[in-house]
Amino acid sequence: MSGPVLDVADLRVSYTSQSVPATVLSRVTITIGAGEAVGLVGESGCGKSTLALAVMRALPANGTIEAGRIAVAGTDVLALTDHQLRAWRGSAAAMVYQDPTSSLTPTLTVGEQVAEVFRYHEGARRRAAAEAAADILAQVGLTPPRQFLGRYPHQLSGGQRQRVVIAMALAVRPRLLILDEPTTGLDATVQAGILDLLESLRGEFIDALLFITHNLDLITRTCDRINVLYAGRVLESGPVVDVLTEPGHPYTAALLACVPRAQDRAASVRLPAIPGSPPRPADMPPGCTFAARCGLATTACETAEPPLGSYRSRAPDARLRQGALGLAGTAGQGGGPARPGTADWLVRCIRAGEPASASPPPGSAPPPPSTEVLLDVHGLTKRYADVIGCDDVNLVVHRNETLGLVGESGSGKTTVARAIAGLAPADGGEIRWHDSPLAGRVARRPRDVARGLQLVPQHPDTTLNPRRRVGAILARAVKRLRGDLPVPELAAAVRLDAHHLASRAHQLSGGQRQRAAIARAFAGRPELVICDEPVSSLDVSVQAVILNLLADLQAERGTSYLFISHDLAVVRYLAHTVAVIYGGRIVESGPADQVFAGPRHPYTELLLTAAFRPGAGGAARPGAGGAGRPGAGGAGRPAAGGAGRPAATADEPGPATVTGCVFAGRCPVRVGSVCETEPPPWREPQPGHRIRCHHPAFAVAAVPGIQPSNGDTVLVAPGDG
Amino acid sequence: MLAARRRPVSMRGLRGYVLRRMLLVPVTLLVVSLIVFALAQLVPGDVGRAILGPYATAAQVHRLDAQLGYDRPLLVRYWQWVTGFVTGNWGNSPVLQVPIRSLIAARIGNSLLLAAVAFVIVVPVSVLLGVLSGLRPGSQADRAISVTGLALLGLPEFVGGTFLLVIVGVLLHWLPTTAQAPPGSGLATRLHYLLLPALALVPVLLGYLSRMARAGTAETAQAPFIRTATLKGLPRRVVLGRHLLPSALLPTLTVVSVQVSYLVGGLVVIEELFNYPGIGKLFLDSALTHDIPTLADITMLLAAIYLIISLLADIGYALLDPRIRLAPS
Repeated sequence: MSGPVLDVADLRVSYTSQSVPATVLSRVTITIGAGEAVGLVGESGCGKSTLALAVMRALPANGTIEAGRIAVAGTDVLALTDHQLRAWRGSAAAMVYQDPTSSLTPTLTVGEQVAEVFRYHEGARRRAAAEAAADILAQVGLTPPRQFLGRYPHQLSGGQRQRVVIAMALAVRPRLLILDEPTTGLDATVQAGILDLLESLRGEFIDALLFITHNLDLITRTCDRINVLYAGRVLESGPVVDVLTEPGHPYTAALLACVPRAQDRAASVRLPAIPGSPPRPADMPPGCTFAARCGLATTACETAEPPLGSYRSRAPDARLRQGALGLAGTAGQGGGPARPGTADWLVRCIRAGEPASASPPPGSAPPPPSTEVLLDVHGLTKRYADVIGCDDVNLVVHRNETLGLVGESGSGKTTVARAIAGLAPADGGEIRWHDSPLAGRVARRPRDVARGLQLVPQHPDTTLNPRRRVGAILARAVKRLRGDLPVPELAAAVRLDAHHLASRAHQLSGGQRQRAAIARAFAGRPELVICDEPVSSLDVSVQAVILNLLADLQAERGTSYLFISHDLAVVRYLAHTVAVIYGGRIVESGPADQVFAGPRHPYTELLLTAAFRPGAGGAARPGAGGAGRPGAGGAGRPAAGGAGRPAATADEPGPATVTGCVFAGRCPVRVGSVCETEPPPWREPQPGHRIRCHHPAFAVAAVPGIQPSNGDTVLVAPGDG
Repeated sequence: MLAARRRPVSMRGLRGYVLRRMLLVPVTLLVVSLIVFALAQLVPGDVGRAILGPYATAAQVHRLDAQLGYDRPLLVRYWQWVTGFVTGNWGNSPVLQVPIRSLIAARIGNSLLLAAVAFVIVVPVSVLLGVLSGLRPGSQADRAISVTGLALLGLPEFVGGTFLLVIVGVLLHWLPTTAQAPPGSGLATRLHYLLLPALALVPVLLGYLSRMARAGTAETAQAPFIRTATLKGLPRRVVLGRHLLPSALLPTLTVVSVQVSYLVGGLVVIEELFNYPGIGKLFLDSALTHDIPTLADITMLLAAIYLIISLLADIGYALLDPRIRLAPS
């Protein structure tokens, strides 16, 4: 057990495009000891996945490992022959990556795909392999496994598929497991289930873990150490707790600052987005790669690249904190104290640890929402065959207001959005616009309604014609929506310049495409813009840019938003009012601050627990104790977060037809059979804050213990001590 | 044990799918029969005149028409024709004066044999070439296969067939130049005689099928699940055989079944060129002699064959693709 499990030293990788090589990884050194979990973060295109693929020796055909060394458990990976490599992959090192929807073979059953690993690595016979597959499926929480063996990937939910991929990766217990964005695109509750699973598998099944993500919060929850990768270089490397509380490198600090904190509101605080974008591999600057975007950069930064130097926090108590929390994180794995590299904290910066000069800029301070009702949705209902799309949905959006619509995938968010936008008319209910009824289909609506009511889709690449120039797309939108802004001004409003306008849509980055989509929606001075998960596929740095932009546009133009998201941190930052939807029904609605402060519907509670446990932006690790939930203040732990962890059940949304409460099947504080038989009543714990629940705690507004002074909910389950 | 447990689910889904799909066959055939019958009415000249020739009197023609039933109302004639076709009572060819059924029966076997020989040659070869080039897109082998396939695609079968006939048959004497083996020959000899006409059918099909197989393979090779299979450490043959090909060749399967209809057109030319007594030659002869009833029955029969083959292809597709087989109905 001596020596690191993964030892990457001075790795240099380049991609050749049109016979011009460009270096994408430069002098990357990463080690992972036995029993250790190491995170790798950075924006898209910084080389995270390239590193993972290089370790697996699975780079695309135009990728070359030019220098350096990769060893896994003492084996020189770069020296393996093709034949050895085949046996090595899957048995010594395994990888799970993004997009579980397409990472399983559609024509083979889950059982066959898992069993294969045993058959080809351990020579197991068909029957024994099937038995082993059942065992490992049970280990990843797919129970009863017999029920899953014969299913095909398309019959599983996203979270279940990712569990299958994890089962395959862990089947023959590799020394090294690489997770590349394993939960991106999954709901917060499903994501929490996967993270819990990984945590439970550590020690017994997982030895060394490399966790790649752009989500800093996930690193906090899973890893011991963190490496920050930028433009193919490691800029900072150290213990997670230290790096994320007292970041040494300005880039790490900037990334952390992009995530909205619990107290941040769009009206008061602008998100400190990182200006610019990472340099392209083809034109790397001679000095520090981050200098061009760095608030601390001096001329010295631009001339010579700083070395990766040893660093100690300026904060005196940092060591102490690491001792306390870091130990708590590793105690459960029974790892020895002598893990290599744990104490190292390296930063590639000559001004490491200096505080960023500017404090977060003030928000764009839009005028408060008016009382004028812009959109009034009443009793909206839609069914698909035997599945409820949405059922009796009521929503009101005032002028200048942002309504956050929150729920998991399959909850009906997009059904509601499409019905309001007139793309898929509802079967029942009424949509009123400026107090007059609105036709179901967009084609039957008057032109000024189409102008005033616009949609920004989740994936702008599917709605922007990739072959057309952005300028032409916007010009057409301005003409069609009879806008009064010239295209360059419209583009300037979303921070796109002439260069972007001349580019074709497919040449833009994800964030630029999303800005183009926003510009198109704003071409005719809309009154209400429906944003369907507009930032969910973007890096935190780009997400901050888009959120600032939406806040600015609201301040300048008084636009209202129907903001649909499963990211509660984003909704809390942007929304004035919140509606929570589950199984096609609104279960809670009210002013954002009240909904987030509580009391909350058990489902809202579940979402919040999944999203913010153990601490968004905080430093607590799982197992570090109950403290550290933002706003929790150590008050009684909500029952939803205790026994009823959102695990495998979270993968499957509510049933198709329900007479009682749609959430009853998953509810941790179910009152009794009444939940299944009677539709829950609307309760109003505070004026304007409505909760649809049978639970007696909501029956009266001011029962002591329901609304503790610190604002956290205490929902006590019957019989819960 | 696992397979046995899985079966009830899949079979139920598959059975429903096949039943729905089978119902479509008679419905489509009914539509085809309407179109064929309508077209037959458009052909100039009447049957009696066609049989009796230009020197018969109008009365004679009229009498013959009445005798053959051509003076009855359209709907009645359509009904008689359709019921006759379904019950196997196909009547006589007014031109050749023999039962149409025996006429077709004698030849359909020949044509199916020729088509089968062509398919047995072309399907494995084109799939193999397509997969090979799809696995290494942009390689020299891929470019050679693609260019050859394209060139063959543009070559009409009467040109290709004539070249083959002249070079392989006449100049080199490798293969017999007629397609029909001497009467009483065994199957081996018959196949030997059929090789040259079958080869003449190959080029165009090869072009289509290998391009489909190439596209499917190249696209599937990029799929994340192939990377998963590779990174699991599976041997390459398993990655290819179990994970890649079933998905990659699904579109090719559909195209193969569509090519059957093309083959009918191809058979007309090739059978004429090699003087082979098949259905294609009969089809052409009937058209030339205005033998409308024979023409109509051949069309119906070919439509039925085509529908049954595409039904089989769809069932095969469903067997290979669980997303269709297990789709909720």
